Amino acid sequence: MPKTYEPDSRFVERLEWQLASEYRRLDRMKPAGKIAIPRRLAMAGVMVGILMTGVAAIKAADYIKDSWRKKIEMARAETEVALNKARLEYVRELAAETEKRFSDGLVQEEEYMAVTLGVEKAGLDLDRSVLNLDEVKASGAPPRHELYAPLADGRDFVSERLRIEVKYVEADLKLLTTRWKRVKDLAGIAVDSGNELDWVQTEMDARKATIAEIMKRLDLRERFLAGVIMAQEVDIMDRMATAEKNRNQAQAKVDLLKGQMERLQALEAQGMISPSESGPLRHALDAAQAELKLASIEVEILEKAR
Amino acid sequence: MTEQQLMKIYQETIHPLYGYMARRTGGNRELTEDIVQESYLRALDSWKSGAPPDIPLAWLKRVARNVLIDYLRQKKREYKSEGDLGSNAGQPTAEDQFESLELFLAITSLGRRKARVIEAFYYDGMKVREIADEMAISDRAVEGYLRRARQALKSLLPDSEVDGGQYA
Repeated sequence: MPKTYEPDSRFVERLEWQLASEYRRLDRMKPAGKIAIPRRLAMAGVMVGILMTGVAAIKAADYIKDSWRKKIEMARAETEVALNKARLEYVRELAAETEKRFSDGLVQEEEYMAVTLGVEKAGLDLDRSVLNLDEVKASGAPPRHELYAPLADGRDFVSERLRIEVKYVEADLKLLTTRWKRVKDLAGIAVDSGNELDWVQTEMDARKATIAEIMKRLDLRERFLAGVIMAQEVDIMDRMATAEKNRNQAQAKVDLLKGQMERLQALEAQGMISPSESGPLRHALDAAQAELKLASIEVEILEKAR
Repeated sequence: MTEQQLMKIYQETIHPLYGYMARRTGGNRELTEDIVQESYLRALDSWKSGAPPDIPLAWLKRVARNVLIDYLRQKKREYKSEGDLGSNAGQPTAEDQFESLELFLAITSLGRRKARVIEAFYYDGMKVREIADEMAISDRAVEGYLRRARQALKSLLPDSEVDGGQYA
């Protein structure tokens, strides 16, 4: 085949690196409870992390800076900003209507709070999308979330994005706290069986754990930028923090379901419910225990890789 | 799909996909690289949450071809006025690249089967018998498609060398 129809070897290597990097970036954005990472993939991720620091990352950004891909990324980021602006406007109008109905006594405090916090979260979504657009303009590359990502045009987009995440989770926590108070009052007068209270408590604990995890990540990021730790360590420590959080949340879920199971079994023993009614809960408990086992394995693997 | 699977597919498909696209862009390296890159990124978006297709190369080729068509339709006028093809030393000239891209765009406007036959014969270097087997038609049918496609292209591109030229 003529050389014109063969790819340049540097292009092949760069694209391979870019795909691996993008795969891991998408993986990191997955919700809690992801599958355990085999050790060699974790180590490959660490090696890529070393390569990604500094020169290789800059070269990749240079590579796509003037290309067609940058135009697509810019268009995507601008569209995201426009959509979030429109959404924020809409949510603000909804909040104004809800405020009026709340003052007329037509809606409960929790509903009003949910809508108000919705405005706050829509504002944070907009902030995040503006930040992403700024990063694409600065770096010519899609936004990066790795703790070892270099600064773009002298700006630390990774930390800025993490701070927005903290505010986002804090908004959720506010709403859950209001709900917890309401459900606690109902449990106090024996209107609630205790199941919902346990569930709300678990959700609150999960949000607090997430905030703690993000703060740890911010700390790791600061130490990496200060040169106190290297990219390789940052990656492992970051993954470890996430894996430990996932394991703790999985444990909390198992404990919650076990408590509910015990209550159901007590009712079953009194003949107040049939055995088949506890079936779905039993399945949920089995699934949660499997999730806990996977999360524990992930922590073990990362401990060995450290 | 695991990362390992993705990398394996990449290693198996990068050279044939690049060659497939380079033939259609008239050897324009920058454009080919952009399209190949875009195709793999779309593949990652599409395959990551499930399983890759049975024949990843066919999927990638289809996506790359569509990306090129969209791009050319958008850029057609710009090419004519600016000749913005970034020709480098050792590569076909900007003029050649423009003609190649114009020809490819014309081919895509033929019927699906005519386009497939023309591309397979001229771009992919397949023999009539191979094309007939792939499309499950007779050799005479392939020759008929080729003849009608060339006639259609002649009327679409009266100044290009469709018969007896570099594409014969």
